[in-house]
Amino acid sequence: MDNLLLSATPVTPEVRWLPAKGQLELRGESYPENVLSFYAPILDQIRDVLDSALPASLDVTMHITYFNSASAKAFHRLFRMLNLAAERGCTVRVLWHYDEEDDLARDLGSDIREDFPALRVEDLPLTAA
Amino acid sequence: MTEDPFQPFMDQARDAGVVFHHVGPMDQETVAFMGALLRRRLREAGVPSGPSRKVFSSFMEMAQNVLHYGVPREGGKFGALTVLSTDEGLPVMSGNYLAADQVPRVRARLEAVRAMAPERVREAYHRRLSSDEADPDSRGAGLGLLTLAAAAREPLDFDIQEPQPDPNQEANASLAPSFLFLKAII
Repeated sequence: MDNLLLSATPVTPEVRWLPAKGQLELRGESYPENVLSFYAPILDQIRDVLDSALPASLDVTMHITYFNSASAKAFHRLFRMLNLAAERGCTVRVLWHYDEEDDLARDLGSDIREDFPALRVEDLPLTAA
Repeated sequence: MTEDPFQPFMDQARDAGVVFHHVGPMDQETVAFMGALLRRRLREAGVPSGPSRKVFSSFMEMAQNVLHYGVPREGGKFGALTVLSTDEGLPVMSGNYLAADQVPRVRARLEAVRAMAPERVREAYHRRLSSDEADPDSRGAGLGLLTLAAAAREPLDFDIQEPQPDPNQEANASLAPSFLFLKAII
């Protein structure tokens, strides 16, 4: 089970996929021009692990400070895949971090919770210091 | 030189309510750079965090339209992006070419979104987000316009200018690009 570690760029988030530890983290901004070409290989690599060796549990940390609409679509695909894993017995906890004034991120979190009931989505708004 | 030589520039921009303005060719790199500059300008203009996020998000969806639909010119996708601060709020505006064969689809989508009440925008957003349909003409699967509509305080304003047919070049008239103007007031 290979780890996937990508550094953040101005338009793509840091990605840490550590399947042996049951951890997936996305942190940063997400607005690459071609969202699909960025996320498709990441989703493929995660899917390979979920299909071949389903972990007992996964902790997914999302802290995306800005995402464009195409990235929202990519995240929805990611959580659809994780929801399937959860239905097959993997305990998936999603830590959904966002700025409390970020309506887009708050709404996306609530859409994901509604669409994927097998996921344990924790709403974690950050208040301005 | 007793006076700051940049003062006239700043005065004129302030009097016109200009927070950010760019007309020219764009690519992914320049858009990312403009985004960083826009955030700084919004902070300097004292725009609170909530509206500032909505302006940034609207700006980026419009920039994506320029890159996606724009017709190449002068080494990039040529477009205009403007953010103002006025009595009516924070208008975010874009202008870009639109290939003639895209006009009917884009017009229909814009008219549908413009006619939606705010709660319908949110529903439509969720429906589009969940739908698995892949729309090859629209990388964001139509979510971009709904994101703009959700951020705006009033319905989106748009205008599509189609080229006047040239009687001397009738065969090529359908190839000339149209122009899309889009405005969201935050």
